[in-house]
Amino acid sequence: MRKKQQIEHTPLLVLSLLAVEDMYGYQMILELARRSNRTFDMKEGTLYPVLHGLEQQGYVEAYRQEAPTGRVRKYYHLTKKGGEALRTESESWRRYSGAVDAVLRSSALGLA
Amino acid sequence: MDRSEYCAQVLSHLRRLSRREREAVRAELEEHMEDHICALLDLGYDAQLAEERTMAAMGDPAEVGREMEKQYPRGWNVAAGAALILSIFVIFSALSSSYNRRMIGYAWESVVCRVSPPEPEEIAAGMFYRQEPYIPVSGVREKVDIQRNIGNDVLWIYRITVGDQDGVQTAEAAACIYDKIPGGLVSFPAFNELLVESQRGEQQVLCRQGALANPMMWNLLLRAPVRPGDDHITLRYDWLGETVTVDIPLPKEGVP
Amino acid sequence: MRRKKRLLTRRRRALRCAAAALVLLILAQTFLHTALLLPIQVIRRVEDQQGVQGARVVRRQWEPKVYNWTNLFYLTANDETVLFTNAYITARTWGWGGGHTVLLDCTAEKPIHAAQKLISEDTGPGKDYHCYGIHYFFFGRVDDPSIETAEIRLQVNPGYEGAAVENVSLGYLQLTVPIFQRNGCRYFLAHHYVAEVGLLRDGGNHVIGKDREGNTVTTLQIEETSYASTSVVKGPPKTAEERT
Repeated sequence: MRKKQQIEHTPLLVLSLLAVEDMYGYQMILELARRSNRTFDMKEGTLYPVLHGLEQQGYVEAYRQEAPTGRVRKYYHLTKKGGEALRTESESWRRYSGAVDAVLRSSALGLA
Repeated sequence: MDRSEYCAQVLSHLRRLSRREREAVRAELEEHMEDHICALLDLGYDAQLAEERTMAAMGDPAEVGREMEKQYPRGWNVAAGAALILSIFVIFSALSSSYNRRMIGYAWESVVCRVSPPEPEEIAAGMFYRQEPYIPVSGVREKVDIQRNIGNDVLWIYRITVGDQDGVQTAEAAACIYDKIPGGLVSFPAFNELLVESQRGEQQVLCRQGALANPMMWNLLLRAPVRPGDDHITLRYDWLGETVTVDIPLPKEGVP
Repeated sequence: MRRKKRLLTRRRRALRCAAAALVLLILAQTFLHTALLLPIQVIRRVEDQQGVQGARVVRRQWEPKVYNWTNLFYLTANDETVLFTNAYITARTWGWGGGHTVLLDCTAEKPIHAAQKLISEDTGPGKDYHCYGIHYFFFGRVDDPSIETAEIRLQVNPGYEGAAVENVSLGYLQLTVPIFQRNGCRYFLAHHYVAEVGLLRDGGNHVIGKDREGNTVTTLQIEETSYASTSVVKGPPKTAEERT
């Protein structure tokens, strides 16, 4: 169940990372782990299909640039289309998680 | 498994991707693994352990490859292929016959003549009149600038020469006809009806460079006999109920 | 940090290829008059060459037996002219070509304007030039409102199947051609095939306009003629003497 959640919401997480600043793949893995307090600890290779899928659909675009490490890396940038998708999907997620919370709270009251 | 083996396993699932795309995927994965290994080396891991830990963190290469393959839709490649085929078709079509290849030169001529039209000697080169090489009139020459719109075409008369030709005082105007739009074709039936007249109504044969050689631009030499006191010759034609008459003024020095 | 050049996705590459192909196509069609992808482009090129402006398509007729199976004949017209021409897919031009044309001047005051196009079918080079027949196309514009029907009197050899006999050396076929209305004017277009045995060397054909009662309003000899061939030999059909 946990793995299924990761695959479904990885694009949303990636878009939200890129809303802050342009990043390259390894940087996103580190940032994701940091912000989620290691809750999202995905297999790193699986990030790239997600990134390439978002790129082919036009939600992100890529360019090559020197990273702070001094090595040239492929950076990803959120496009306008990606920003709109992020807003929409975030709203959907908030409604969904709110509904799950509400059901769990009422179950907890029932159990209590 | 090392980095290159990991990448090879991922790439083995990328059948839909082009060579360039596969190379980009390989480079990106290698760079990621390089960063992870360097981070572990900074933490004090030895090289072998750092690589093993990195491979483990990357996940199953087959799964990565299969998921990656799904992200590259075939449709756009088909569209690019269709565009390439169309371009090849157009190029072959343009070069398929010697006539088509000459059209490239004709199109260029029809553009150039609008700013730099040929002199009568250039027009006359290669022309024949009654099976003899056509000799343009030499004498007093002047620039004129007479333009007429005739349907989709423009008739531009730009030179007038008066001189002696075989003992007869003759005026000769140089003109060109081209379509209003560069690359358009000249309406040849219309201009087959052209007549050139002296002030006394004597008509002369219209001479046209190379007959229908360039369908986009015609060069004409319009000739009529003149006498002292004449101040113009006339170009005339009727086409589809429309009559066009153009008086071409002779040089200021007049007819000697 | 200054952003570097965007990397191309498949979509962007495909769109660039498509744009380049389109530019190439437009240049080839505009300046070289080749790679025409639609038959109407051939027609518009012919109109440009003939000095016809503002013409509209009046009729389009598929005739696969002439030239090749893609052959389309077009009748286009403006106030002053009616143009009969064709377009077909040809390997020579890598696209649509054709443009075997007759232009009919309708500026004169006449009750009916008519022209004809004769297309001979000969065998190709290397064999005897043996004329199998002629495709006749008759077309025109009817200006007299009293004319309800039009007929073509096509001269043939007497004894040709279906021919009426005029005298010992002359027969004729009477063909009724339907008149149709387009864009406020009335036109006709008819096709008839005559086999070799029926052909006359100098046959003069006529168009006859008749009123509602069937009375002849006008008879006009068809002067405007153009010849073509579906193979190498061009020009009017050869007589038997010329062929031997």
